[in-house]
Amino acid sequence: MSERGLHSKQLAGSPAARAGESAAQPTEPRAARELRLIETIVLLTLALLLAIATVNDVLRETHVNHRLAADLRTWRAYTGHDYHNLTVAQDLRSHTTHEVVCGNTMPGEPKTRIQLCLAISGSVRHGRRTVQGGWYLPPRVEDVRRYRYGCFGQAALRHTCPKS
Amino acid sequence: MKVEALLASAATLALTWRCARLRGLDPVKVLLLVGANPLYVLYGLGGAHNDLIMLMAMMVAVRLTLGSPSSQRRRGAAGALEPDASGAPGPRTRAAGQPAVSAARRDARAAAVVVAGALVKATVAVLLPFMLIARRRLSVLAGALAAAALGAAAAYVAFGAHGVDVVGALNRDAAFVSSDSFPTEIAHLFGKPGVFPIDHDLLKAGLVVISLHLLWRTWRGYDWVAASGWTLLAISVTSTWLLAWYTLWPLPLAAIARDRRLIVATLAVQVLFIVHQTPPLLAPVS
Repeated sequence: MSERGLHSKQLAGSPAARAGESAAQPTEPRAARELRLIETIVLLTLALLLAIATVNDVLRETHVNHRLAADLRTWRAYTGHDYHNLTVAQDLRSHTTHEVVCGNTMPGEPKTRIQLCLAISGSVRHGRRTVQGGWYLPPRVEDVRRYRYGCFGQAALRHTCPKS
Repeated sequence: MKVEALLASAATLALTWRCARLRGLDPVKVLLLVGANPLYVLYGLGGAHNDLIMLMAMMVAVRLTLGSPSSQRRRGAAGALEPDASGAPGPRTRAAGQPAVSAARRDARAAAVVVAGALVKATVAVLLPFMLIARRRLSVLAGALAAAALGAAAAYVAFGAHGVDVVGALNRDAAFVSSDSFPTEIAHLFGKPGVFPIDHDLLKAGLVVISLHLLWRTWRGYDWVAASGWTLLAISVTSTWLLAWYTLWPLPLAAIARDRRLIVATLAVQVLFIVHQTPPLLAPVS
């Protein structure tokens, strides 16, 4: 019997039809069994894709976190300040591993003092990364090019600051 | 809000228990699947989200369509091996003495409750087409339209034109992207930085295909409760804005559905969501 036949004859009250296909019944028509099998294969394929995507994302985020933790340690080691309210800007446009970490040069609320920003890149070695250069920012501003001053290192060579 | 969430949760669990009994399932097991679910307790109940009110409305509607215990007994006495689960009322139901009028009233009330739930959270509205196709009663449509008209009128009186602009709000929300969503994870897997507008369109198309398949299956006798649960699960998986409590949407339906694949899939999605939260534990940033 086709599934259509099953529908027209059994849907009107048959318990078998209402059982909702909880499991492949021995009496279930072949077409219904095949449909259920196809659905199960599709579901398992999707489950596999989601599982692989999730594990891949967990590994990716773990690596990013590992790198960001190294960036924060690098800023503290470079400046000698054990500050924890630092801001890390990732390169979300080009998706490189270059990051900019900014923090106050004196104790105070975040961004309320002159800020020192470090451009950090390279691989993590001994829990730290390489400082390629940096710049300063006045208090209460975001890290936008027009506010930058006192560039040093690669930042000075690349004219990252609008004025020297 | 906490008290409201607590009451809604208690009602949802009580209704789930009742539905499980009416469907001949082990109510304790079903209750544990929902009530002891870590995401349900921590994010749903702990976060006091309005999703719990939506779930309560959803389970009230399902409970109403399952009928009264006496009607279930009558149906059993008439020869049905299992209580009415998937919905379609047939000649046997009526032959067993089930008054068609009271069943139609129950269906109308169930549809109205779904609409009321949709006013709290629109997602629950996906139950309506499945209910309509499975029950095959105009009373479902009538109940839904009456409740929608009442809700729209109340929203207009209270908030003006903005109160009835649900579609605009839903379209805006659908454009949001979170890093926890499965589409974002898949985009990362294929080397893309995230989801783009074209991906939103593809996901919507995929959701439409899934919904149409489930509607077709329901038309041919598939359990409408399970079909609704699959659709809610599909919405949470294809959504680019996924929050922990979104994975709770299909849970009560999955627990009482006859298709056991649904509960396995729902729990698997929840496990994957939890696994995705672990990077801060593996590499803390401080």
